[in-house]
Order: sequence, then C-alpha cells, then structure tokens
Amino acid sequence: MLSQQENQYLTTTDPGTPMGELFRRYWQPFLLKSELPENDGPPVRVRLLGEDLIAFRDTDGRVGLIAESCPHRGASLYFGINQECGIMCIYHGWKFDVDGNCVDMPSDLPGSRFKEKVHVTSYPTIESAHVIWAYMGPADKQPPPPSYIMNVLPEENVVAQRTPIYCNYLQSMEGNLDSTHLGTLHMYYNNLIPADLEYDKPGHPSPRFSSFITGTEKYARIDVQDTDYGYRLIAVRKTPNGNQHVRINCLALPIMSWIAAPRGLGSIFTQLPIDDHNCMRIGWQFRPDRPFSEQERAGMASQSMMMDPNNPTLRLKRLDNDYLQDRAAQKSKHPPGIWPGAEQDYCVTETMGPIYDRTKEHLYHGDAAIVRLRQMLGRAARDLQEGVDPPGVHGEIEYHKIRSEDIVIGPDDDPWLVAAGAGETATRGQRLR
Amino acid sequence: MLSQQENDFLTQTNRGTPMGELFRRYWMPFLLMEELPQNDGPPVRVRLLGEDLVAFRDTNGKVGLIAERCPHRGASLYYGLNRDCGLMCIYHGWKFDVEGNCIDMPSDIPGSRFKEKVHITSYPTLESAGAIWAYLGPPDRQPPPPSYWMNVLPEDEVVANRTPIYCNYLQSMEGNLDSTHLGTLHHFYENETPEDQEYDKPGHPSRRFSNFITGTEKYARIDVQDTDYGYRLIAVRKTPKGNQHVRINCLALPVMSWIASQRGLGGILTQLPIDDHNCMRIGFRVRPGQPFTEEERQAIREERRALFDPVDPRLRLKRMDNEFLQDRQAQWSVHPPGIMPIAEQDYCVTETMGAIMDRTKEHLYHGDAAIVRLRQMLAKAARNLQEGIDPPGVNGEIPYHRIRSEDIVIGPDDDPWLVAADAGETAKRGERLR
Repeated sequence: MLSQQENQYLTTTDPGTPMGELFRRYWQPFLLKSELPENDGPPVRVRLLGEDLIAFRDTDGRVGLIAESCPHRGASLYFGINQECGIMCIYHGWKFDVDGNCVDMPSDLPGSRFKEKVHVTSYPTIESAHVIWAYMGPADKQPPPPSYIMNVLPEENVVAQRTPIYCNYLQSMEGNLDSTHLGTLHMYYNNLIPADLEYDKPGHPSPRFSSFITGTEKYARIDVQDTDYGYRLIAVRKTPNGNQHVRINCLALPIMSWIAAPRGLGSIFTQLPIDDHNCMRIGWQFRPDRPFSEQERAGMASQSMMMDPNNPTLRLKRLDNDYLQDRAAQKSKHPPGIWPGAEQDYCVTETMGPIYDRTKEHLYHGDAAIVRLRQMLGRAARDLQEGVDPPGVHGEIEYHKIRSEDIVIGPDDDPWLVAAGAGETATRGQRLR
Repeated sequence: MLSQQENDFLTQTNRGTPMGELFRRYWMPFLLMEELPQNDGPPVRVRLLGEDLVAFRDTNGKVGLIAERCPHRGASLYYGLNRDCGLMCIYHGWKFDVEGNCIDMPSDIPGSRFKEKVHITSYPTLESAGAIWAYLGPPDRQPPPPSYWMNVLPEDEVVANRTPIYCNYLQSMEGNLDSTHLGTLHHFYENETPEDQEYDKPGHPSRRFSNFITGTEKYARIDVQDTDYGYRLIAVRKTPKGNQHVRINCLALPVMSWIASQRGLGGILTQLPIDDHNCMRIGFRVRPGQPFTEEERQAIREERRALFDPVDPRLRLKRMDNEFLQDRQAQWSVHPPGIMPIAEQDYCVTETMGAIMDRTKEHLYHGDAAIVRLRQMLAKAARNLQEGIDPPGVNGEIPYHRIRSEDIVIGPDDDPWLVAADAGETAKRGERLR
C-alpha cells in the first residue's frame, strides 16, 4: 500500500516531475519504423510522457520528432507539408527541420533574420531493432544508443510490435513482473491434465509441462535478486518429482522487462507512458541464431492484429466493450474468458482505473517484485533529483547479456545461480526480505 | 506573447468576467431566424457566453430567450411544451413567457399567488438580417438595435449562416484579422501562374489577379489604423509592375469583422463565445440592390448542409477527431492545407491550437500587428468598463452601416491609408501602431 503522495510520485511523468525526468534520461522506443516508412511521407502524431509531438521522415530519410504546436501561434504542425528537408506549417508557411531549426519563413519581412531565432522543441531519434527511439532528456546527458539483445542482433532476427494500453504505465509494468497470476489469469483448464511428465528433471521443459506446472502449482516462491541494471525476479514452483521449476523475469530500469522463457527467448517489453492515463507497449521477439522466416513474421503479425477494424488506432478489446469477454469460455476453457494472452493482461490492468489508487491495495507474498520495482523507481528518481545519474546512462552496463529463463532444476540446486550469463551483472547476496 | 493572467483576462467571458461584461453590452447575433421558424415550434438549446439558455418562438411569433433550468428544481425547459404564449416545464407544469414571468403553476395550492413571485432569467431579442440577436447586459444599458450594413439593407439582400467552432473565440477572431496566412493556408498552387496581368493598374483587380498576388507575395506590409469603432487592418503587397495591392479588413469592437473584398462585398463575420472552449461564427453576405432569389438561397442551404456531419447535423463534418478529412495528396498537388473549403482550413489551424490557445508560448512577428492591436483594444475596453466608461458604439454614436472592407490596386506612390475613404471618415488619422 502506498500513500497518495507516493502513488503520485511514481505514476506522473510529465515534464518536470521526478519520474518524468528519470524516464527522459534514457532512449525510449516510441514508434515502429514501418509506421513512418517513406521519406517526405505524412507525419505521425505522437504523445510521449505527456508531450504532444509529431514524428516525420524528411527528404534525406532522417526522422524528426518535434513539438506538434507551431511556435508562432500554436497551429498543429501535424497537418503540415513534409518536403525538402522540413515540415511546413500550413498556416503561415513557417518550416522546421528535424533539428527544430526554422529553415524558412516566406511571409517574413524580406531581409529579416527573425527565423534564425525561432526554434521548435525537437528531440534526437535513432532507428534500431525495427523501432524509432527518442531521447527527451538534457542535450548534454545523452546516453549511448540502446544496446539490448534486440539492438545488437541483425534486424532480420528481430520482430517488433506496438500496442496502446489504456492506463498508467506503472500498473502495466507491475503486471510484467508478477509471476503469481500465471496460475489464474493465463491458465487453461486443459493444462491441468498431466502431460509431458518426462520433462520433470533438470533441464528445459516443454511448453506443455511448464504450463502444467504453472497451472497446477498456484503458489510460487518469489525472490528478487538486485542487479546493476535493475533486478531479476525468480519464481520457484515444486514439480511432482520434487524438482524446482524456475522462471526468471528481468527488469532494467526504468521500464524494460524480459518475460520468462527457456534460454531467454521470451518477449522483451517496455511500457512507455503516453501520458499519465495511457501507455504503449513496445514488444520484441528475437532469434539469436537465425532470421525469422516470412511465415513466422506473418504468423506473429496476424496474432498481433487485435485492433478495431472500425478505427485501427484503437485496440479491439477494451473496457467499453468488456473486452468481448466470452462467459461460456470462462467455464470451459480459461478463467478470464478473454483471448489472447496479452488481452487478458490488458483487462486486469486497465480495469484498475486510469491510475490505480494504491492506497487501497492489499499486497501479499507474490507481490515482492512489484514492491521492489516501486522502491527502485522511487530511489532512482530521488537520486536523480540529488544529481546522481541513474544506472546505465554512461554505457557501463552490458544490457545485451540480460536474459530471462524457464527451467527445471534439482531439489537442492540454488535458483539464484540459474542463468549465470545474466548473473554476471547481478549483485549477489542482497535478498529482499 | 502574453502572461497567463493576460491570456485568462482576454479569453474568459462567463458572467462576471471583465470580457464577459464587455460582450454583454452589445447586441449579439446567436441564431438564424430560419432555425426558429414556427410559432409554438420546438425550442432550441442555446449556450451563450457560458450561460445555458433556450430560445423559443411563442404563439404570437415573439422570440423568447430564457434560462434552460426551471427555477423550481432545475429541470430542463428545453423539453417543455411551447404553447399559449409560454413554455411549460414538463416536470410540474410551471410555465414561462418570453419575458420570464411565470404565468401558470397548475400544481400550486388553489388560490396561491406564489407564481407571481417566480421569474426566470430572460433576455430581450430582436430579429434582423436573417439572424436573431440578444442583449445579455444590464436592462438600463440596452443599446440601440444593431445598425451594420446588413441590418440596414432589405432582408432579401442578405444571407446569414451559422457555424460552430470548437475553440475559444479569441484565436478564431485573430484568424479573421491576419492577412499573412493568405499566401500559405489559403493558397492554391495553380494561382502561381501569372494571369490577368492587365489588372496590374490602379482599380479593382480580377479575383484571379488578386489570388496571384496573395499567393506569390508571401510578405505583406501590415498597418493598423485605429478608428472610433475599432480598427482597419491594411495589408499591402507589391505587384509585378510596382503598384500596391491593398486589402483592408475591419474590426468593430468587440467581435464583428469585415473580410477584405472589393467594395466591401466580402463576408461580415462575428465570433460569439458559446463558452470558453467554443464559439460560433455568424456570417453575413450582402448584395445591395440584388435580392437573393429563393433558388439561390436553396443552393446555399444545400452547400451548407454538406459541411455538417450527416450522422449528427449539429456538428461540423470536418473536425479534429477526423483530422479534418485532410487529403495528403492534395497537399502536394492542389493547395498546402489539403483541406476544403476555405473556412475549414481556418478551423483546422485555429482549433488545433487547443481549446484555449496558450499565448505564453507564442512567437509573434511583423504580420501579427493587427492581432496585438485586437488584444490591446479588447483589454482596454474591458478595463474601461470596469471603471465605468461605456464601450464604443453603445450609445448609437457610430455610423456602423458605413464600414466597408476593400481589395484594390493603387499606384506606387498612392497612400493606402486613404483607400476606402467612406470608412475613413470614422478613422483617426496618423496614429500608426509602430
């Protein structure tokens, strides 16, 4: 349970808020490259951390991210013309380049140099892992480019997608770092039937055996292992043979998360605030050893096509249509009666309200990683207020090594040693409780 | 650039605000006569200067404008029954006439005279120039009826229209008094080809030549000439032969504007606040000596209907939530905004400034001189009123019917300040702004 003050501190990210300033010290992914495909194509409206912006790709292919409002008298630059290395406001013809310089002011006094004094807010962008990333922090504090696993692999080994989520970023992030809901929200009654029991031994289990364990063992022992980049969440469940089924999720501050899967091959997600009442999930999947086939890409694309056919900027399943819940499926297939898996998460997190009121919550053992997330975010933001840089902004962290895991170990093995590759960056011995 | 406090002062018009009190000292057009066509017809909801009202035409044809809420327990009179010279609340039958008197209270104790003590807020109205006008100010300060050009012409020589605008009145007014945006927002690429060059001499140019000049000469010299009614905005552009193309817009305080056009035959527009986040444009077109035929009026009605949402005809079709149906292809081939028609281009740039434009963030330049002057004049009139000084024109001292816009070519050495001397009669000479 948080006080109202603590809750507000953690959930507000507009310019000038402590959490907003923390987020602004990192490169943040905000748009798919495929959403801005053409040089001189139409711009895209973008709201990030409460700021109204537009993104456009100029004649040379560079991506600009500038304030939506023209600095003259505030008309929207979204309706502007993107041509000859700049976007021109349709009101008086003021034109801005990707760096925010006013490069043309045809209606000004001939010979006037006023345009040299006019700038529109602009932020640097880079393109990596199929995504456009922005840095919205102080110009002299720009960190090195993102170096997560998807950033260092060839692009053909990576797929990315983007989804709007209609609530505050924090409750959505908390869902990514909560292992205890697997046995209910993501459970299928089919998986209660024992199957693939030959995997009940040290090693990587089949997806079916893993689902059997998470579906039947509702209780998981939760541990949190602090690291230099954030933490690793370790969820341990007993197997029928007395082995330990271990799932590891990772958090890199402020909002990058790795979802548990064998050999780290699960999704990597970030939940970037659009404003205090909305966020967007940018998700990646990757193959370390080979490109995705066209067939695999098409399959993932169709799975992710959950947008409203009448308004493709909206998710199809959302609060105002009760997530198209199937009450019959609730009895026969899975507790939520909502499909697919991500939509199950959106239902429970969005119905908490635009900003969940954490003065009313009742936390239990399973929420240890959620408590730690809040502590770490709060700590990093307070440190920054005192002039201490947040982790990773000087390139000191080997982000590309971070991996999730889903594995069975023996009855006496130490779960803290699982996935030693990531363990290299872990600070050992600091148990939370 | 304004301070937040100055911006609030200028943009807020609810009852009791300085700007709201200034507006309330003038007759304001708020509805078309044809929107309230029938005696005893259904009432119309009207929000004016932040006040929720209903307008209705009673059995005798008189137009009432009264508070929407029944004084009893606040039910909406919009749903009421309009008959026998009054509007009856459907809740308990309390009934009000156009003057706001409670003329029936059938559910009261027989013999009670309580209804004589009950009144509802009501405002005087008049009908002129195809519009219904209201006076929302103190009863003892009611000015003479409006006497603009359209008010003194025979009614069949005037057409009026009404359009909702989804932002504060001031940014919309500012657009009416901004000549510099012609070369971008209202520009058509085809007008860059020189044509009608024979009009490059003193006199009224063809429309095509005028568009060629405003489309190619992006820079216009802006002057503002103070007058007793407000000001005249003079925009001067060079022509290829070295003549001066002069466009003159006029402002009569607080919110009546004349859009530049030859011999003053352009639109006359007012931007009346509905509330602080919405206004309505009432526009008048005049054609002296040439009455509009019923066929012409019908064609205009059809044209107007196409501008409204077929699903909800109270809403403009092109608006923020559908990106003004912008055509990105047309932006490259036809005109910069890619939005049609012209007025919708204005709505796009003014509405996307936000519900109330944040003027602490603007960067004004030479072309905004008339916008600066508009704000100064509005603020001055409102502050004067706070000190008990009447605003201009409310005592009938201004010959409003003579105000004319203009669009004309004059010689290289002619003085643009002397153009349209009719209107110049009311101008104070020599007070240049800068």
